[in-house]
Amino acid sequence: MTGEKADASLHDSLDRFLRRHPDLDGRALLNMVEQAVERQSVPAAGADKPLQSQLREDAQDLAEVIRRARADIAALNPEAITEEHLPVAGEELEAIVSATETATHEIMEAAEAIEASLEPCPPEAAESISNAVTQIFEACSFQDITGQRISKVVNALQQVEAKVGNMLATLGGQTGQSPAAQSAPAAQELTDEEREQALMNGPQSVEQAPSQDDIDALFQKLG
Amino acid sequence: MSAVDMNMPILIVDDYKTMLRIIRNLLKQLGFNNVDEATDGAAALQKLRDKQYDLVISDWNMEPMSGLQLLKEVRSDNKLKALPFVMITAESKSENVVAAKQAGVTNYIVKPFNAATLKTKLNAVLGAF
Repeated sequence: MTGEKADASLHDSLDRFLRRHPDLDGRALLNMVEQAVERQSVPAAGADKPLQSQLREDAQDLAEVIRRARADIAALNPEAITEEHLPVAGEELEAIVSATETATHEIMEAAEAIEASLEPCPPEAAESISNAVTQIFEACSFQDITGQRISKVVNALQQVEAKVGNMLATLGGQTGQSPAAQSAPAAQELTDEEREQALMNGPQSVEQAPSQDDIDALFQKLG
Repeated sequence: MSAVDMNMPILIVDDYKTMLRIIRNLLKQLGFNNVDEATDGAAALQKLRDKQYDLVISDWNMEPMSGLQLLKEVRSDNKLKALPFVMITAESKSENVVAAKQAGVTNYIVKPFNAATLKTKLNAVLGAF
């Protein structure tokens, strides 16, 4: 087969394939590329020898990269990552949120009890204790912030799970997408609801988060 | 003497029970005792339609209805649109403040906050107390 005929054949095959699979099956596509690469590796009569030789080497390199990637992924035992490690990490993080929430409520309950028993105290002492109780309440807001931060980590883990699922679907191992990958939004024009959803990012890092003064300045500027 | 009615009904909205409890306690220390709670925007909207409140203090990041959606619902409801609405949220990016301001928020407090900040903002919204 000449180079031109091989190109036309590959083009036809891909065309037929894409019509049959409008949603694109990455793994099948790669298999097809590999097969095409093997076909291209067969010397074509009358072809330009140095160019053909270079193309053949590149094609063989590409096939080798794909084979190595598949072997590396298989060695990583990716099913354990998606089925065990990531879900366990998520559960552990959720347990942390639950434990800190329980502890925070116990702390606040104690603070409320202290505040409720201030009446017999001399005014000066009562004020001092009341101020300390306020500080306890303020400090307890850490639970809300850490809870939101941990939720961000859980979301990040779900994204990793989705990416691993996609990689497996493309390069071997599992077929199809992980549940997290299936729920990932498609790249398209955002609706109002999606735009609002995109505004919910939780707390920024301490270094990046603006102060209340920064917020007030912006609020004033907006009129 | 303060012109602010310290017995005014206030609705606080947050999906974290810890935060509801913190805000309730801080409001109590400021002298406000008539405080109801809701854990998401939809539940809050129902309460606002069932009872007359003088102030809403709401978180942003909640499901199924966010604080921003609640604010928009409030501002588009003829009976509720003048209600003072304070957002207390960890969402501190400028695009969030702009979106809230455009939706008609009365004031914006970023978490973590303290009692002094809450008092300052409520003074700005309700008048000195």
